[in-house]
Amino acid sequence: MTVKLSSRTEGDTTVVVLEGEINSTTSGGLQAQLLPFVGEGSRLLIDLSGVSYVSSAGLRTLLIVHRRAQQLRTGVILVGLSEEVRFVMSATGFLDFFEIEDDLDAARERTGR
Amino acid sequence: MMAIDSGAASAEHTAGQERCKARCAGQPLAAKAASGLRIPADLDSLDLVARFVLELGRQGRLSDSQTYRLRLAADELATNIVMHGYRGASGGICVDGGVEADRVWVRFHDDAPAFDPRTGMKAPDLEVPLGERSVGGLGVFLALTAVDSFDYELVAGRNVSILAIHRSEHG
Repeated sequence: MTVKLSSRTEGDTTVVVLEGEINSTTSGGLQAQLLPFVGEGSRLLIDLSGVSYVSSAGLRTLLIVHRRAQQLRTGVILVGLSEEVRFVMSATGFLDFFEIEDDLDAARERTGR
Repeated sequence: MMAIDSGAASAEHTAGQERCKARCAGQPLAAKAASGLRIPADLDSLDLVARFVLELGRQGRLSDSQTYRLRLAADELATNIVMHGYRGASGGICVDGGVEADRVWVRFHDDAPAFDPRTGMKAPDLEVPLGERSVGGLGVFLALTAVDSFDYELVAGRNVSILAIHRSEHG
């Protein structure tokens, strides 16, 4: 099982799209790929709509991304959380610490304000 | 139906149950057990556990959300056994499971040092900001939270955990 990452820039926002599963075998590699996108003078938006599974290892990766973003005084927005991923983040208190939007359009609208 | 059971028939029934239990090492009588697997205690083997549980969820006609929770709990427990049970030492994990009328269950046996996940886990302090939280320790908490029942026993020095999701009547 794998997780794939692709990225693009939209204005002052870096959009990273993840696809696959984030578990104990994929999270380490993902973390190394993801961290360089934090704080390149812009906000980071992570699209999780293609992520079908997140375990605590995935939460750990999100936690490390969150910390880096805090250090660099930038924001991380998560979009496209499935009901199950939301359950995992909610049970562990992670939901409250990220900006969460339903999808990319909702996030763009918010950015545009 | 209970009323017409003679005492002798009940005794025979109980004896049959005991024989089955002995043969199946404690497996509940009504279980339609899927053949289990034995994996080496390393992270690369965890995909096998995931596949096993996903198939069990399909057989038990669990909803996507129920299957996700059972798989999550199994994944977290297995990861914990590999990382914190055996701590890199070689060892094995036996996984089996079954579908019953009212539940789908997955059972883990391992020979790592005794660890009861129910008492050994620490719930995350939801009041502490994420930036100040410790990086680990969420896995066992998630495993316990995700399933409908989580049983643990130390049997002859082996850790035995049984995770179950209740099936809905129409499931």
